Amino acid sequence: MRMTKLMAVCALAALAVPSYAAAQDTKKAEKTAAAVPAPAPGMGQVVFYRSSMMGALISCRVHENGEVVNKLPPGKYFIHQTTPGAHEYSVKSEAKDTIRVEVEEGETQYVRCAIGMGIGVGRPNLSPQSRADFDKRGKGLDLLPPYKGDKDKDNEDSDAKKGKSEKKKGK
Amino acid sequence: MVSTRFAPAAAAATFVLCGVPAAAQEAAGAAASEAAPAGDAPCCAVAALTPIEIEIGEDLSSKSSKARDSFRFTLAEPLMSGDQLVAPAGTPGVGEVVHAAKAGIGGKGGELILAARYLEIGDTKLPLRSLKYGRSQGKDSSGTVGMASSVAAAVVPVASVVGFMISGGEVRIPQGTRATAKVAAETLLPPIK
Repeated sequence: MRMTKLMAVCALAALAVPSYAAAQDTKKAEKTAAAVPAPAPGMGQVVFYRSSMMGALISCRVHENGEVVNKLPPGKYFIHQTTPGAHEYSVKSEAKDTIRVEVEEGETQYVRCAIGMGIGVGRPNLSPQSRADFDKRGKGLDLLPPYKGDKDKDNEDSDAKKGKSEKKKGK
Repeated sequence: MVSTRFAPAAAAATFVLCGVPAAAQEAAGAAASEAAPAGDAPCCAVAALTPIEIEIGEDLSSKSSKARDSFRFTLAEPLMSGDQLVAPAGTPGVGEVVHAAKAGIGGKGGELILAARYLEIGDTKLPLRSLKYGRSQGKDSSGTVGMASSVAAAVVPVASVVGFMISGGEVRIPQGTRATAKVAAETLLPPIK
């Protein structure tokens, strides 16, 4: 009887090894971020991403020349195709942070949004990054569709309010 | 006879090498057959996206640089067009600071984005793009600061303020740093004797 049990345990262990290996392979595949397609001919692009959950209730809405490029909640990224040349992007909460990026034809630049510590609320920061950083932090991020404008007003805290209400519903 | 037989092949090879219009090649061939002294007339095309290696000519830092500042660099390796030297190592160039931000409170790392604009080869400016020089952001301590402050704030409220005051690292690019760039557009250059 004991022998039968022992054999059953061994059989289960043998079955578990390949599934563990498969899981490891999947983990390896997830070690890099999603592939970013090349920009359209004559265009360049900037990938904006937000990997950290820190300051999750604070919006990281990216603007250029006063227009919203896209909103960037935690765990998301978006690809912004634009013309070659210098472009200034900004994010704002209690403080405004601006980054000037040189977009080059056929190339992809990477910009990460992170929320740092502030006095009242967190301070969003846009920083220049490399593909390597996007690979490191960008795994598992979801791609946002192009921004088509909010139905409601361009409220900087709309994402935060949405997050709060979802939390309350969850409770 | 021999020269007549090889003339079309030589012309074709020249076209592949330099990539200039056929009419210009014929004119150049005619000039060569007359054994005219080789002047500084453009002979050699440097193709767009040709990679070049440069050496930054001054200390740059996210702390001291400002957007739109220019900086100097030199060509680190000779630039060839086929077998023809068109720019020796040491050829000067000009770059521009695209973006610079100092490291800030809350662990924010310094930021520095540079662009190579052109190489000065005699009277010709060889346009450049796609400068790559390694990290463009300094040590970002915001994650560590945030976590440490959250924990510390629960125990000693003042500690979170101390965490807020921690600054991230600056980006420093010392003089002599090697970087790569690419030629932005095909350019005809005179040969270097």
